[in-house]
Parts: sequence; structure tokens; C-alpha cells
Amino acid sequence: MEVENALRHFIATELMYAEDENALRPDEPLLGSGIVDSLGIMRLVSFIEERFGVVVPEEDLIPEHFQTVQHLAALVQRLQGA
Amino acid sequence: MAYLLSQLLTESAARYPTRTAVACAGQALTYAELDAQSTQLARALAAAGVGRGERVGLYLPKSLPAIVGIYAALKLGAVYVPIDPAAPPPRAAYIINNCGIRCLVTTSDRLGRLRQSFPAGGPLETLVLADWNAPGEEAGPPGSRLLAWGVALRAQSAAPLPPTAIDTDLAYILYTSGSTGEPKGVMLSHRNALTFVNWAAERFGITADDRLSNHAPLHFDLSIFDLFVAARAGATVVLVPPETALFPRPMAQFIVDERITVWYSVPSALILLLTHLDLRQLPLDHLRLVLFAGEVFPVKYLRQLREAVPHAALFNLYGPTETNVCTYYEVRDVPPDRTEPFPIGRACENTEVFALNEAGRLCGVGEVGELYVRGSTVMQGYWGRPEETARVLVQNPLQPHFTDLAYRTGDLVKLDETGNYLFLGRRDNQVKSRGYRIELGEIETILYNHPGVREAAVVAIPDEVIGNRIQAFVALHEPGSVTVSELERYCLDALPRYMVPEQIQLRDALPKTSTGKIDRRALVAEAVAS
Repeated sequence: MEVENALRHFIATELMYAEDENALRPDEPLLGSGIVDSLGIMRLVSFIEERFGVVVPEEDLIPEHFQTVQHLAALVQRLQGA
Repeated sequence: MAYLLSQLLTESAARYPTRTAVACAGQALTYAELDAQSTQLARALAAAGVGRGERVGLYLPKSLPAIVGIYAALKLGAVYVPIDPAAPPPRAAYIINNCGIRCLVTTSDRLGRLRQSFPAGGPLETLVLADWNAPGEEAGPPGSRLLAWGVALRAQSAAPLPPTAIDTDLAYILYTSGSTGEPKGVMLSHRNALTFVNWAAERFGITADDRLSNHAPLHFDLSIFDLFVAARAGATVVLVPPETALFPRPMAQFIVDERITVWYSVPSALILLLTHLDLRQLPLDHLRLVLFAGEVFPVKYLRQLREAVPHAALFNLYGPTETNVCTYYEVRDVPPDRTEPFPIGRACENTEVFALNEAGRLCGVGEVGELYVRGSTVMQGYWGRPEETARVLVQNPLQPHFTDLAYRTGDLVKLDETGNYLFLGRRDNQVKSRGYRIELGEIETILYNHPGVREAAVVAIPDEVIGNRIQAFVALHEPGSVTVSELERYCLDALPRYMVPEQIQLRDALPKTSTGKIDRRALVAEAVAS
């Protein structure tokens, strides 16, 4: 949950410019909606790498992992376990 | 010989009925299907009152119905107006009001936003819902009627419609950033587009065997090449799903899997691939032509591209939305020691460009001047803005004898010894970021609209990969009364995401020049240093 909350907070406040994470549901689509655009992807990847001390390999830069906050949290947890 | 854009489709449908015209995310339409569906939709729109000269809005993601909508409007002699599907609702509403869109092709998930934008009704009378096969429950803004796509098409005949438009009629309006704080609609006629399309199809030898990608959004003028050059040749255009374009590997895989032969995009889309992948490892033999436009391509990445597709022809195309493409330059070798950007080149056939110095005289070799463009590709003006139009569409300064308009690009150029123009920069505050054209003044106007803001300056920080990063400096009437995130949200409500400053810094006061103006140079220098 901690990973999911941190991701939700970052996307809501930094990419959606919202007050807090309540602006974003954990299952809200990030891509089709325009919440995350090309610049957003890069900022998000930098955030994940700095905050969680992982490297997002190039082969994981695919839409499947960026569908929702929940998908992203699963990716981070897998990378942390690796 | 086609004199209307829609005739490119009808002619190819007669010649190549079973060839694929357009494909997107696993779905496709043949030329016969695209021709038939767009006629059916045109008849449905005509029944709803759309006629010659009427503006038809397209407010939906890039998809097969969006393309059907374009041709339906054109077949009626109507004007298609693509609205950025990701635009904030006030911006979409501005465009709908500005050019008086009564008929909109959209999707049902946008109905809520449209009701909020037009609580007491508005210009919208007919909304065609591309994702509805049968009538649904939800309503549009007051006074509007909803038409389900499936019902609208099934009810109509696909028998050809006789053309009513002539080639100087408007074909489409593309909204672009305006320095006064509101987007402005660039009006282009069938002839404006066809002159460019005919040039491009001939110059690049596009045939029915080509497979073109469409990377640019439909409200971006690069899409004119993709859609209509393909239609003219009977080729296939494959729409890049917006999700795919965000990720380097899926984007590269799309080029491989779809066997794309002709690619056209802003350089930053190619740089995204080059910085993440070794393209030399990918089977890209079928890619025969790579075109790029919209911003300067940094030489080090262009060199990587040259090495990745040694067999493909590379062309740098140049031209503001107002002129279509007006110059071009073929990039052959990229020497290892070269650092200066490649030229924008020389005028396309049947187009003239020239540079004038500050005294209004023709520039010699090596002299810096503003680039002017004249010819049939030059726009008809900005919708509803005669003064702004008159500022840029001027009597050809070199020829006083008869009416002959030239477009002042605002771009500073220099002619080199080989007869090619080099792009040097802008005369004004317009910048490019990821190929998007941005008027810094438009962002400043939005910030000034906030009641708490006393002073605002928006500057562009050069960036090798995306062109420019946008940064804002703001001084408040009462320090502490407004937070940065409130200002960011305020911008996001009014501006497309690519125009929202990446960073907003609050200051007690902004630095001034000796004449009392905000010192933007000092702010840029400071931002670059930090």
C-alpha cells in the first residue's frame, strides 16, 4: 500500500496538479485519459527510480505497466523483489 | 484531376476499392468502405442541416470514425475542425464557440464535460456519437440532439454526393496557440492543402504500395500529409494509437509490425526511440522515407538516425501551419564532426520563399532576415481575426503592381552559399516544445487572468531533447495568498498540458530592464544556471 500511495500522491499532485492524492482513484486509467503524457512518463520513471531505488528497464516501458496506479505499484514491487 | 480533398478518396476508391485505406489498432477500412461510410455520414449530417461552409467539429480520439468524419465533412463542402481530444474543456468550448460549431462528432464519455461547458445550451445542435451503435441514455447540452453512429450510417444511402465546393473554399481549420491568450484558427482551403499534397506525393514518389504512419494528432498539420498523400496514392495510412506513441519499444515495434514505409513526425518522437533503443537491431528495411518537421533536429540524434536507417531517404521539412510545408532539405550524410543543425533548405516546387532584412530589402547570402512565403499553400487567414490576419498576410513587398499576398513567418533565417536557408530563431515569443507551437504570451495572459497575480513572465529554457522547457515566474499582489499548485491547476484548466509551465517560481518582484520591462533574459539566464 505504501508504494501505491506514494505513486498516487506523486501523479495526483505533480502530474494532475491536484491538492492531494484523493483526486486520483487507484484504478483510474492514466493513459487514455491524458493524465500521463509523454513528458509525464519520463517524470514518473525518474520518480520511481529515485524514490524506490530501482531501475526501470527499457523492456518495462510498455503501456501494460502504466494503465493505473495499481499496475504501476505491481511493477515497482516486482522490480524491488528482483 | 482532383480539385477537392474528398476527391482524392473517391478517385482512389474507384481505382483501388479493396485496398486498405486506413488502419488503426487492428481495425481497418478499405477505400470502398471509407468512401461509402463517409458518404453515409455526410448524408446524415446533411439531414441534420450541415451544408457547404459549415464547420464540423471532431472531438474524439484518433480512430477510424475520426477519419470517416473528416471525409464526411469534406464531401458536403463543409469545414472540418479537429479539436485536441486531450484539451481542457474550456479550450474545447472556446473553439466550438469561436468558429460556431453546430455539429460535433464526439464520443459519449465527453458528454458530461460538454454539458458543463454549455449549461444553458450553446452553438451545438447535433452531436454524433462515434461509440454509440444505438441510441443511449445520456443527454448532451440543452438544445442539442444526439445521433448514434450506427443508426446514422445505417439510415443513409452510400450513393455518391455531387461535389458542391470549389477549391478556394475552406477545407479545415487548425487551432494553434495565439499570443493574445486565445487559440487562433488557421483556415486552409482545398487548394492550400492539395498544392502541398500533390507536391509531396510527386516529390517523394508515394505509390499504392506504400504504408504511411500517422503519428501526429489530427489537429496538428503534419497529419495532412499522412492522410491525404496516402489517399491520393491509394496507399494505406496506419494511425499510431496515442498510447503506443508514449513508449519507445511499442512505438518501434509498431513501425516493424505494420511494415511502415513512410514515417513523418516531429524530431522529438524519433529522439524518444533513438535514446531508448538501438534501432540498428530492428528489421527496418521496409522504411524507405523518414520525414521530420516542426522543430530543429539536434545533429547528434540525426546522426544516430542516419546510422539506424542507412537505406532510407531523410528529409527535413519546414513550414508553419499557415503555409503547409514550404521548404525542404534532404539530409544525406551526417559527418562525424558536424555540429551545426541542417538547413530547412529551399522552396518546394510551385512555392516561393524569400528573406527580407529590417530595411525591407531582399537579403544577400549570409544576411539575417525574416522569411516570407508566397504561393497556393498559404492560408486564407485566421478565423474571425481580420486584424491579426492582416498583420501576417501582407502585400508582397517586392511587387506593388497587383494584389499578391505573402505570409510573414516571423522566422529568422539566413541564406547559405549553396542556396539553402538556415533557421535561426523567432522574431517574437513563439517557441516549440516537443514540436508543439507555443506562444509564451498566451501562457502569460492566463497567469495574469488569475486575480492574485501581479506580474508574470513565461520563458523557454532550451532543451536538447524536447526543444524547450517552459518555466514561469510570478509575483503576487499579496505574497503567500496563492500557492504554486493553485497556479498550476489554474493553467491546467485553461491550457493544453504541453503549455502548462513545468515549473512556476514565486517571487516578490520580477527583475526589470532599464526601460521598465520585465527582464526575460535575466530570468532565462537564471533558470539555465539553476
